[in-house]
Amino acid sequence: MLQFDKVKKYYGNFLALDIPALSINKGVYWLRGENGSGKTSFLKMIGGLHPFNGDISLPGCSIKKKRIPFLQSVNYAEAEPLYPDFLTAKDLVQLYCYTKKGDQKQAISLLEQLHMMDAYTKPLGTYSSGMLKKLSLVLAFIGHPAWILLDEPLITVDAEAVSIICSLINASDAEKDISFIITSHQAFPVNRLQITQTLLAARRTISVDNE
Amino acid sequence: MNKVVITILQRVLINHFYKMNAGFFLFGFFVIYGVVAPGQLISYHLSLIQGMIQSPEFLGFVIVLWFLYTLKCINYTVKQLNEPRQFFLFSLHTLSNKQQFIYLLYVHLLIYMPVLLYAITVTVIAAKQHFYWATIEIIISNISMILLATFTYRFSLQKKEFFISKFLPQIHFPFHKPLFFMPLWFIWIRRKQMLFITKLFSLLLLYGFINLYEPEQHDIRPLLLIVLLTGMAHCTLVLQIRLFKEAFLPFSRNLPIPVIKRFGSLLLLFVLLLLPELVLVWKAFPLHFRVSDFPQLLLLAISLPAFFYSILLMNEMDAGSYFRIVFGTGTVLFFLILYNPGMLLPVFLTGISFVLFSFHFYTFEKRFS
Repeated sequence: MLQFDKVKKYYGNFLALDIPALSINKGVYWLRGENGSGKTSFLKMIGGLHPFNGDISLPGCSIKKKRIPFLQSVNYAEAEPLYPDFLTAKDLVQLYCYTKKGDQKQAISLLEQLHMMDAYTKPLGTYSSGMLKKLSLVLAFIGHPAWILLDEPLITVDAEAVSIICSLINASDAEKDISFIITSHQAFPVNRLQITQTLLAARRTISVDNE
Repeated sequence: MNKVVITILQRVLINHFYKMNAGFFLFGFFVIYGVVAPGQLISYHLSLIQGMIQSPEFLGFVIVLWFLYTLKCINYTVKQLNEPRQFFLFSLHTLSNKQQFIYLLYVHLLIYMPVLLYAITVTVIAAKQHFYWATIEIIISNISMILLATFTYRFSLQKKEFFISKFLPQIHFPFHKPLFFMPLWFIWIRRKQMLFITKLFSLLLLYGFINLYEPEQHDIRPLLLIVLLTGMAHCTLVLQIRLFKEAFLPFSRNLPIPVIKRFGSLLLLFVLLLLPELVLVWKAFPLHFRVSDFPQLLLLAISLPAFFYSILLMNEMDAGSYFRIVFGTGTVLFFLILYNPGMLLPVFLTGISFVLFSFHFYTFEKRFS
């Protein structure tokens, strides 16, 4: 269970998000909301990329008190990933496998499924935006996360990749007990992705949509 | 020349140059005018000029310093011309070659002005005292440097490859690049000219000191002051490392790496960055320092950029504010070193850098305007 305790996110003096208390049980969540409603900020706070007031915790660890075990359990993929163009996918896979204690073979297998192995040792500056997106998604699956946060995972990738990513999410949820929070402006293909529940980003807060 | 074009060039390139380098000029002003009593200022500079025009070696050294300043001007202007926000300047490309040259010459003369005024003064004195070789050397070297800079700006404006880049080594290592090494790699391949100029200045300064200064008795302070200056000379590279990390490595905050390990990696990065200086400093052994002094030299050299980096984590700041802090820090450390604090100073600097780093690493956020 992911718990939020008095979480507030300010940009300067502007209060962008205010989550007094929220608990999110295991599952696959679709985070919906308009542009600027705080979806990306929400994910970046959980992923440790944005500072905030309050605390976010998992069973046994919180991001403020036990940051390292917390980040071992939370992986994040950006909507528009940006990496140094002189690095290769191999550099990043090795870095993530080392820090997230992941299996390089598993990452390579995912890259193979997404037809990325031809470019594995090529500089990222030669990648298209779709290839960078696929790489960021593969990196998000490295290690043993309890939660994976995917910001707009389906944009810029081809139809075959969308199908593979949806299958991967379903399998990870069912077999490895990994939970997901996924933002998307497009509705998910109902028969491909098994969404547990919807989260709503509106009026500067995040809530579970019970409708 | 068109007034509108002149005004734009003045605002975009010339004023910005002096604003960006405010700390550098303040420091230069202090070194040139602040080291002697006001009453002796003119006689001090006249003696310096006499030394230049009478000693070919001294004049050669001064011309090298002017050349370094020219490289600084070239590096700045070429970088500005290639900035996406300055792309509108490429409209100058539609002017004739002669007009382009005149406008760019105007830009260079104004940013080269501090050196130019001093060089003119030296030339007039040399000519009056019939030191014609020195006069010719100064005139030819300055005209060559001015033409070199102006033609380089034109190449850059016309999107031709900057000539210095051709002479700099192009090495691509196929090995794995660990996280701490990425900023160094970025500097090596994307900030090559800045690295080249910084290293040239820093190594020449150290080499010149080791060869020209002979202490009468053991005193580590002069060498520490030179190490302080070489550390300060790297402040622009530290700023580039910070900007690179913020732009391209924010994902690394999601990686479960302890803060102490991140700080250790930062120190290791600066050891590698300053490796040429740390090797060259051994040329000063045993005349300028003892083996037991080396930890102090090493720690001061790497704690200074680590401190500048940690300062940059505290708040998003413009380059002008950053350079003022660098200059202020350098001034304070300059006086502290004179009191010979030993290991205490670099240990304190490292400690305060770690505290700032660990406190601000996760709380830093780019300002939203």
